[in-house]
Amino acid sequence: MIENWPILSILIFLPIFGALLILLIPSKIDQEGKILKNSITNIKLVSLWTSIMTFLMTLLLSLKFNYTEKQYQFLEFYEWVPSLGIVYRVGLDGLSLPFILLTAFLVPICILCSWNTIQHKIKEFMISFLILEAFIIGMFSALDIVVFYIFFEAVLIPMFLIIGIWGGVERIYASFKFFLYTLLGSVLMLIAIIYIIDTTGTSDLIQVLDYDFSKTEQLLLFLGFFFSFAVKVPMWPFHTWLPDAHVQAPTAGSIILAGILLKMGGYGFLRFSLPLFPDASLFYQPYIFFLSCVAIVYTSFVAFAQQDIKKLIAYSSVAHMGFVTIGIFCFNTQGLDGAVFQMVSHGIISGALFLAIGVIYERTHTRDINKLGDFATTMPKYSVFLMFFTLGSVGLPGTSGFIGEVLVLIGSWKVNPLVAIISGLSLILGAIYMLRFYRKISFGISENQDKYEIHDVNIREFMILIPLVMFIILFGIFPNIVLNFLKVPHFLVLETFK
Amino acid sequence: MFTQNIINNYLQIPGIDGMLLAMPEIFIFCSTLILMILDIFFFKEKSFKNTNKFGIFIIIIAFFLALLLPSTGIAFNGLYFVSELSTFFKLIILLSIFFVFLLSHNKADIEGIKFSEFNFLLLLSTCGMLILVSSNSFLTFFLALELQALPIYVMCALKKNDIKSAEASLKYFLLGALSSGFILFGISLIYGFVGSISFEQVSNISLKENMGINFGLILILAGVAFKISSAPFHMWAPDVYEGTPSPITFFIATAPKISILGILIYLIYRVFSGIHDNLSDLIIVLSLSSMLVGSIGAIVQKNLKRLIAYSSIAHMGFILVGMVAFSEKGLHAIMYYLIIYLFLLTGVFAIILSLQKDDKPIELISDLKGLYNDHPFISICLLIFMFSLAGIPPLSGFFGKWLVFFSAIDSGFYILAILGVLFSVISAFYYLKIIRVMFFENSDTPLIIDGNREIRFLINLSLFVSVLFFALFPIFDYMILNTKI
Repeated sequence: MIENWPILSILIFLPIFGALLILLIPSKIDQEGKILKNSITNIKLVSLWTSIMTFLMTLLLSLKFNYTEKQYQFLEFYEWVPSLGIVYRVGLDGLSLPFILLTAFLVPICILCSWNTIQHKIKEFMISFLILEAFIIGMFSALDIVVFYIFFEAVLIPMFLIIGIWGGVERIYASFKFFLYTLLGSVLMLIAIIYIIDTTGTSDLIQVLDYDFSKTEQLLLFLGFFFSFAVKVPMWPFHTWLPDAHVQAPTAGSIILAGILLKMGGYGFLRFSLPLFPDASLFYQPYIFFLSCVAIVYTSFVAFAQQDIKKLIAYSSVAHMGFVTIGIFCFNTQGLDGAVFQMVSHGIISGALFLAIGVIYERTHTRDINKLGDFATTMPKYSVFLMFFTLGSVGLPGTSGFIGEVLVLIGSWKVNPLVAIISGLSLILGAIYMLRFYRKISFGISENQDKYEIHDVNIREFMILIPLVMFIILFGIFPNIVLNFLKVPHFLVLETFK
Repeated sequence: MFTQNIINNYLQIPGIDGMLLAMPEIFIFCSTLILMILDIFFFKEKSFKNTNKFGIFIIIIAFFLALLLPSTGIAFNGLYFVSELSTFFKLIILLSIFFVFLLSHNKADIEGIKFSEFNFLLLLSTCGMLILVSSNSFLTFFLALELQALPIYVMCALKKNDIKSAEASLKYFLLGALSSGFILFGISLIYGFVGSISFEQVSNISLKENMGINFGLILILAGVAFKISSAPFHMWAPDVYEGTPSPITFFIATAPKISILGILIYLIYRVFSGIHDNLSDLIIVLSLSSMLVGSIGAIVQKNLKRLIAYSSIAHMGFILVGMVAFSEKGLHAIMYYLIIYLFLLTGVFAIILSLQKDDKPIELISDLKGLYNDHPFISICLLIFMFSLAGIPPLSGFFGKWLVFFSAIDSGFYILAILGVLFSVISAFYYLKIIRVMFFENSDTPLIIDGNREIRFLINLSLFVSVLFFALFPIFDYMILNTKI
């Protein structure tokens, strides 16, 4: 019986259902005008259970998923606006499922990590987060260009509120910059999408893929998509919104931003740009290699100079995403595998690093690297966790960071050895700034450590950090868990280039 | 071109039977006169409220008359024309007038417009609008235009002791009279060169090479652009919006513009269908300059209603994008856009009207400070309306924007579409500014919410339409696609 259920739509709308439930929880107010603790706990628990249920459902999907099937799976199809050829079509393939798993895995972690840090408007926070999750899952499973665009842009609304309401001191500036930057990128995609629908007469991706665009059309349409994805990735020089947004966002916001929102760009390249515009992709390859190399080298140096540790991780994200774009535009199996693996692994590692920074920030209320230090003695367990995350970010063999980078390097060596050499050398730069960060945080001397009451990670934080470490090592040792998903979709993508 | 030869498809209805076509207008006009007499003799104390209630009834009945009478055709010796499109516009206009009545019902007191004349003038102006979208000759066109405009000038001045209101009224009247002069001059030129004021005669003549007709058309277009507050004829809008009481501002922002757009579409698609190329350039200029002025001008505004004025200029620019191509897609896009925009403005004005600070209606954007802390529901509604006006999916505004640009790209106006979306990003900035004030800032003096049943109904209705528009889309799709011009 369950075979016929619209299981994917249920997955997409389950978080929204949870958000509606939270909306119904009455927020009773005591004499001091504060919301009763009871209802706050209810809100937190409902959102946690909703996100965990979502995660279990994605696990169920991945169990039922057929690795060798060439068609999209769990397909659902409803007519929406027949006159314009828009259909509601969702489905999964090996490319989208890892990202959906990643999303559903990170959201409960975000909710748990903001358990005590979000002090005001907790109800709204949880609602925004669940709606955000629904939009992201919808975006990764959309197989209609318009449906994709709607989810892609709708993500802006909850994210804008998360940064703007619960963010740091300069949250307004950061949220505006984030919103307008990404909107500016994506409206150009809107024009490209409209053009595609107008020429092909449908917005159904499966049908659009069969259409051959002329070279000129491809070159222009590619640019339309490129700007929106390049801002999301973010590629140099479109990255300037990222440090501000990361620094000002609350911890959970940073995790979701680095872990998933940045991946929307890379996913978009793989899902749309490459299969739809193969000629244009080949044409723009050198330019994208150039931008990515600049991103890797330049942002590594910038990261080295940062005082704010959140900014440091933000810049390192730009560098790591540079590997992703190089891998995508190699047009060979290793490159594509490496890019997607790097995205998944970066999603976990950078999420973990932001979480770790959040843990320190909760205790010391500073993110200045000069004021922090000596956590190896004050918080020994924490230092061990942080070591795993740092080494994962550096790309030590045995962690998941290594696999992605090595695959990308192999892929790019086949296409352009110079790119491989530049990006390979810059791995050293990554090691320099990350190890400096770790040395200072764990073993450095802190100026005013005595002011803060520091206790080691509590049971809740322990429970969040353990699965992250587990996955970093698991993916480092058994990369095929992820790579198995990707065989068929990457084969199909590469077929368009032959 | 799909507009050719439509005119011949409609039946001439002779004599007294033509009255049936004009039934909504006749009904509104007669019942308004009766209502005036009733008001003088019977409604002593509750003059405003009673006339307002009767007005609502009249509008509802007229709505159903327009909806249910199975009427298309040409009446009164070719002066009057009813098509499915004009019926569509009539329904939208009556809907917006219905909203105006509901908005003013309990709020006339605090806005200082508690005179029963408000209702009579509103009804008379409505009558003018309905005739306007049905006019089939330049005589009907001009008379209806004046019938709808003159009551509005008076309505702006209803708040007698307020200097801003007087200024707004005078400005609106002087500039409005000037634009009417332009239109009249244009009509006289066309009459001189064609020898007829009937739309049918004008549309049958080959217009392309005729300089006089082109010139007359430009004058008419200038006058019409003034009435729909499209740049560069927009100067009056910010001052008038700021000066007039909110229910009247809402009225000025919706109904007259809808009716004039209706007749503009009619003129362009049917009467002047021979000179599309010349017209197209003019409308591109109007559209681009409206988007530019609307989105740049609103950034520095501090007064809420001035901001709405600039935003409505920008939206008019988007609507005109749909008109550039003279295609069926463009026409449908405009129809969608008007529905969406009407509901959004209704929601925004209902919220503005329901909020008070220090026993006065709110005026400045900064008055909204900390709205979220005091009234979460209202502020979330306003948030959704703002995102929707900015055109963020999945809210209704996105679909309007999308359809309009679709029509432009469909006809090959790529540069216009790209500039249009870029301007829409600029205009997103000031919608975000309002959200920032509500959500990210705190204030000392609390806002008082004074919403009654009618206003709550309007807020909920607008919320419903803007959030669930994606679900209503197929229904609207069916309705609008089956409308014949």
